[in-house]
Amino acid sequence: MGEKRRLTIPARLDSVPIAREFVTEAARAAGLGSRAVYHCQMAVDEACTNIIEHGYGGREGTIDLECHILDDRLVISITDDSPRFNPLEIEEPNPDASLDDRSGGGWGIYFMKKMMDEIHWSYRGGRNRLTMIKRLKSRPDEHLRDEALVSASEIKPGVWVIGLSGRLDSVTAPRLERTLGDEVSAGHVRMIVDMSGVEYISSSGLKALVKTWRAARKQGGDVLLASLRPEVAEVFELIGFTQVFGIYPSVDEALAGAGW
Amino acid sequence: MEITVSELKRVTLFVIQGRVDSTNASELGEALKSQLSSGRYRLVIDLSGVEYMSSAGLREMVTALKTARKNGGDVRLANPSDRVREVLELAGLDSIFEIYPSQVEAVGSF
Repeated sequence: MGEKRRLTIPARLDSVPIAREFVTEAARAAGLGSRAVYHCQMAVDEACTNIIEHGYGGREGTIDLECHILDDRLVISITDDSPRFNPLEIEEPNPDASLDDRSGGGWGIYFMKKMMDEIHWSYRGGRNRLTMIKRLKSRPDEHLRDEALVSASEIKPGVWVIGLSGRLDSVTAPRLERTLGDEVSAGHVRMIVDMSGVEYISSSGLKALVKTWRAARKQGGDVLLASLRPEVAEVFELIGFTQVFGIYPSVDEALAGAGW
Repeated sequence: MEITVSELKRVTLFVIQGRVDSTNASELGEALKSQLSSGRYRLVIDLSGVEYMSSAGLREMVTALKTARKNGGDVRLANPSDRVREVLELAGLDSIFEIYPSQVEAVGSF
C-alpha cells in the first residue's frame, strides 16, 4: 500500500481548485496518463461542488480528502459532515435527452460515475464518505462507455446495494470479482445486487457472482439479485441459478423478502 | 478563466481561456446572458484555450443555448480540446451543439 495523502478544505467553492490540484498530484504520482488524471480531477471537482452546494448548502464545514494506492488502483476518499446524502441514489440524467428535456441537474454525479471505475458511498459516525477508484492500468481495447460499472451504497445499516452495469463478461469479470470480494472482506456480507443496468452476463460473470455469494454465505450473509433484465434472467433460469440466488423484481422487494 | 467578448457584425465571439468550474462558471453565464439580453442571439464560444470544464460550465452553455434557439439564434462551439470534447460527448452535448473545428468556421457558419 502506498503512502496516504490527506487534505482538508473548507466547504467553500473557492477551495474546489485546491482539491483538484491535490488529486492531480496524487494521480500523476500514481502514474496515470493525462486523460485519467483529468477524469480524477473532474470527479473530485464534481463531488466537492455537490457537497458544498447541496450538502452544506452554504453552511460552514470542512471536506476531508484522502488518496492512496491500493494494488493497481488509486483510491480517492472524500468525507464530509453534511447531512446524510447518498449521491448514488440520484436519478441519472439522460445524455440522449433533447435540449428541451434537459433540466441541468445531476450531471456532476453522472460524470463521476462515468469517469471513475468504481464509486462507493457510506454513512458512518455521522459522516458521508464517498470513495472513488481509478484503475492504474487501463486496457487499450476498452471504451469508457463500455466499462462495467460498479457502485456500492449502504441503504440501511449492514445492507449494501451493489449496482452493476454494462457487460459482465470475461473482460470485466476479474474486476467484478475483486470488487465484490473487497465488499465481503470489508464485512459487507448482506448484499443486494441491482442488475438493472446489466446488458449481458457470461459464464465468467456468473462465476464472479457465485464466488461472492459463497463467501458472503460463509460469513452469515447472502447475495440477492434484483431487477434483472429479461435476457439476463433467462440465463439464470437456463443454468438453474434461480435455485442458488434469491432473485427479486426490485431492490425493495429483495430487502423485504430477506427481512433485512 | 478569462473571457474575451468581441461583438462582430453578425455574431458575438467569446474566447475563453483557462479552467471553467463551479467557482467561475457563473461569470461565463453572466457574459453570455448579457449578450442574449441585448438581443444578440448568435454566439460563438471558442473553447480552444479551455483546458478544463466541469458540469457547471456545461450548464451555463446549455442555458444560453436554450435562450438563443428560442429567439431564432444559436450558440456554436469552436475547437474544444480532446478532454473537453470527451466531456461534451459523455453528456450527449456533441449532438446538441454545433461544433466546428475552428473559430473562423464557427463564425462563418452563421
